[in-house]
Amino acid sequence: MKTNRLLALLFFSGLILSGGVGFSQEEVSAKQIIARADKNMEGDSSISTMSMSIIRPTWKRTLEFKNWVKGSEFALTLVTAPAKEKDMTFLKRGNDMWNYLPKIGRMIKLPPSMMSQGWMGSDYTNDDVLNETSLVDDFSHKIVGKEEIEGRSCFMIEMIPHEESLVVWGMVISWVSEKEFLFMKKEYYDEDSYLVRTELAGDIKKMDDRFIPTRIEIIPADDPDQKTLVRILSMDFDVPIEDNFFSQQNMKRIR
Amino acid sequence: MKVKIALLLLIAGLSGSPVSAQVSASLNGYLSNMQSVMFENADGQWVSDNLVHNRLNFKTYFGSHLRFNAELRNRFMYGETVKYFPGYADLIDKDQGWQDLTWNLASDSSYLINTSIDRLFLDFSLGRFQLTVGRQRINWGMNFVWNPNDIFNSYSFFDFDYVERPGSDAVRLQMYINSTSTFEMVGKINQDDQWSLAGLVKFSLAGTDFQFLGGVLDEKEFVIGTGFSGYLGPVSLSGELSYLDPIEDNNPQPSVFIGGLGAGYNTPFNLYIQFEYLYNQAAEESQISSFNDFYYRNLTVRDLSFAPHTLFGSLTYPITPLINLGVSGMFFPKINGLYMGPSLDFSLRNDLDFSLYIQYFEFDFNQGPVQKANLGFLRLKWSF
Repeated sequence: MKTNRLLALLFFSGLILSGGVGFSQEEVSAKQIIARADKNMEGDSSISTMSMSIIRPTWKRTLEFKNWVKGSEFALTLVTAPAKEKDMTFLKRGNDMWNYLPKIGRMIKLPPSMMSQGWMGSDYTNDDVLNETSLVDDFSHKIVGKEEIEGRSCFMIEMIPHEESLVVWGMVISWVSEKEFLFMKKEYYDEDSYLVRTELAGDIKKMDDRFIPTRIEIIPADDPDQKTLVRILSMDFDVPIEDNFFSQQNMKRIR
Repeated sequence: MKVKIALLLLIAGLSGSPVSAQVSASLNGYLSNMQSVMFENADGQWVSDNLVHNRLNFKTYFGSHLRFNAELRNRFMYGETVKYFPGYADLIDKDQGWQDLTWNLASDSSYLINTSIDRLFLDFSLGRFQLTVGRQRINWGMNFVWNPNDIFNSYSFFDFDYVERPGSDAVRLQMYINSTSTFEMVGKINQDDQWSLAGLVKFSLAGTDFQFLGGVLDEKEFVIGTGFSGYLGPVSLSGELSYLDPIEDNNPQPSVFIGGLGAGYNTPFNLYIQFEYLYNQAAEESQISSFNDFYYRNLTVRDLSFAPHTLFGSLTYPITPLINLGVSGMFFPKINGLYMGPSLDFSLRNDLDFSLYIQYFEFDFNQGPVQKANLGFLRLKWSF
């Protein structure tokens, strides 16, 4: 029970990269830069393998998993490492979530409250993954400058959430590369304009049909010795997946 | 033997068919060493034991439709229980299933080496159907501690070192009606060649899982049951209710209701709080009369508790991301019984865990003098 609670969060990791709107226009405004960068990291569906490491000054724990994701409605996650948690699966269909433990042959319904605890003190929080807010629609955007990040010239865009939105941040600053429209860095500030944490992207590689950062570091501002490191080991975009692929039957069969 | 031949035929038959595109195999498991002590009073006799426990899980896929699983546990025990507990080797050698797949490989006055195969099955999937034949775990429980709906494989909450639990020798057919609904039929045969036959339907409605089950247990009694699992706001809730009714009128066991309700809540500061309540009408008639019965016996649904009303509570809290502290307790009002169990889990590496468990029991089975038991366990476990 404890393990599934600790791990419940990770199955949303498939959604870390999703959540956005379509984009079609050519004209580049601050909003469109964000929309395009957002679109770059998602597809209608994706199949990926990832690892997530919790890194502290004296220890490190790593979890590896495979994700099947369709829109923001459907996700199936299979844990592939470490050995203790291997073969555990998570399913999300809309607001319903389940966890299957093959060791004991048990399907467990997960309440949303189970999500509020990160895995091993991961710096990802509930709000990051559960909040279905949109970087495009829930903020007003302004280009405030240009800066180089990891050798790439980036637009620096200040994002202020709309009053009525559910965004928990006071402000987000995003650095989007000019050439490829990739999020290279994000800074999250609270309502008193204090930096809460920084996300740094790197290791841009070609995955399927596009270039994406395959390394994302999350560093809490109050404890810079700590970080959570997400690595994308493989990712295929826009793979056709039927809705009924996201089933309890596949939770037991997938590998 | 019959089972083995049937399994072999099935493997041979299917692997020769065009279905078997790809064969892939995997092996994992764990190896642990656990030191334990048991005493009634700290100033009295201590019984100390050591258990080296190895689990091996073999899994082979023959193409995408057929899978073969074999899982076994090897145990090397030595200590005072092996030395002084009469009949201990025989108890460990006993297999609760139809086929005897448990063996004492070596046994002497001071030690015991035991191997037990607790999973041995073929799993065949086609379309919406999944057929599983052999020794397998069939888990119909929805609550955390007590599972009146888990009619094929009840177990004791206290045996924390064996989460996998024994398997049932059974044939199970599952049909996936849609993404979140299942219908299944299970036929199980026990060590006395008695059949159990039951069906379960499970579905999801308005954010809650529901299930209904019915059947015959060990050719002795009818069972019907229902369970749910869902949440109310931030609190997760589950419940199970079963009704057992002996087939023969002259059966000494009465018809009984057994039901439980559970709730769990994770506070914003990560303290997880859990409660469970069990009502067991059969507890009055329960044949558990000693602590050993309760702790070691492979329980049936009727033996889930040893008092009509039982309350459970637990708190778990990660002191640091690597250290989990927990305490659980049970209260059995009618017999003034009490259980307390503090625990500490320490993740040493990705694959290495250190745990400390303490179990304290106090009970009064037959209105005699109060019995006490203290158990302590230190375990180092390597998963691979």
